[in-house]
Amino acid sequence: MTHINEETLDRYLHEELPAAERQRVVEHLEHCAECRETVSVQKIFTAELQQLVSTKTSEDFVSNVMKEIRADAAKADRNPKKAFSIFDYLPDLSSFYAPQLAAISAALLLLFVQLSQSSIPTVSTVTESTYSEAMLGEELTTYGYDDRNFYLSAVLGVEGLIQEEVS
Amino acid sequence: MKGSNEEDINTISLILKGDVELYETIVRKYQQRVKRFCFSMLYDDALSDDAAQEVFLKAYRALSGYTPEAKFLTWLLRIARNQCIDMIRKRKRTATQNLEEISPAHMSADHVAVNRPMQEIGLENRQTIEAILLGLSDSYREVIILRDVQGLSYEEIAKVLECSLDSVKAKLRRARAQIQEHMRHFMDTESVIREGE
Repeated sequence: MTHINEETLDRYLHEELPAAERQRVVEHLEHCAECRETVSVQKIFTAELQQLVSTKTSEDFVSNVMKEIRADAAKADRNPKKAFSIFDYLPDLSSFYAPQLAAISAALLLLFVQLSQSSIPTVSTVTESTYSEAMLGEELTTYGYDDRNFYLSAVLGVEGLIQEEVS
Repeated sequence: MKGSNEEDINTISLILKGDVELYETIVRKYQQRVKRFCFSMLYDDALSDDAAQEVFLKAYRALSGYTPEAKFLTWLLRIARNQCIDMIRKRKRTATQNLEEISPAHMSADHVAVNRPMQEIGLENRQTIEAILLGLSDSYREVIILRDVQGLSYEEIAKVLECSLDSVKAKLRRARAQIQEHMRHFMDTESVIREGE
């Protein structure tokens, strides 16, 4: 005789089998003493086990938990979670004095204005770049019309000086 | 208890909206099941009470992370299991207690009885069941408790233990085989004694 497998017997005892399968197990148990004994042993064990661990919580269990929960909730109310902000991750500048901050801002502003106005190259840049015609061409394409005139006069002047010295 | 998960989900959403007092209904509903589970792992009444309280606190703090894909009880028992494992580990690190005092698998039935004053131990049957239970490995005992005491399905047990369904089935099958063997041996012995009387 083929016995009912352990999983099916287990599901039968936990009332998890569909009606048709349950009926099949019931019919089998009527004719199989071995499976009947297995079921009976498991029933005894489970009933005793449930008694064995039937411990109960202490009387103040719920009140203790709720006391902690209320404290937790109150703490969360006092320190609500803020939305993400990049400023939270930047260094705190509040320790700086206002005059120092104003001076730094003014210096940065001046530097910016100066840089934006100083597109004309310095003389040293011109003389360094005029010894090669290829370089001159490159430089000329880099700057505007006025700058180009300035470049040409500088180049001619330097070349004139060189020729005078050679002759 | 089946079919009450929707109720739990509604309660949880209200708690998350700020009705903290509603958490009491959750605690009242599941306190005994969580305590029993902790007790089956720790075998110490006072300690399992502390563990269960901690479980409800941790569950409250992690409540926004609960997803209704799993039953609330399953989620709660997973927290309980981790809490008990943590407590067992901490005790193992404590120099004042040695390993024999900590691991339930190594505890004698007498020790269990001392730590459970509310139990009326004295029945031979119960002592036998206790000995059989303590004779099982931790993982077998855990799966038996979840199935026979907590009444969880195989799928739910797999979620609590964070393992596969096949693993649950295999553990349960082996644990049941051991239990059957011990129980039949005990019952045979008992019937021989009765016949002798």
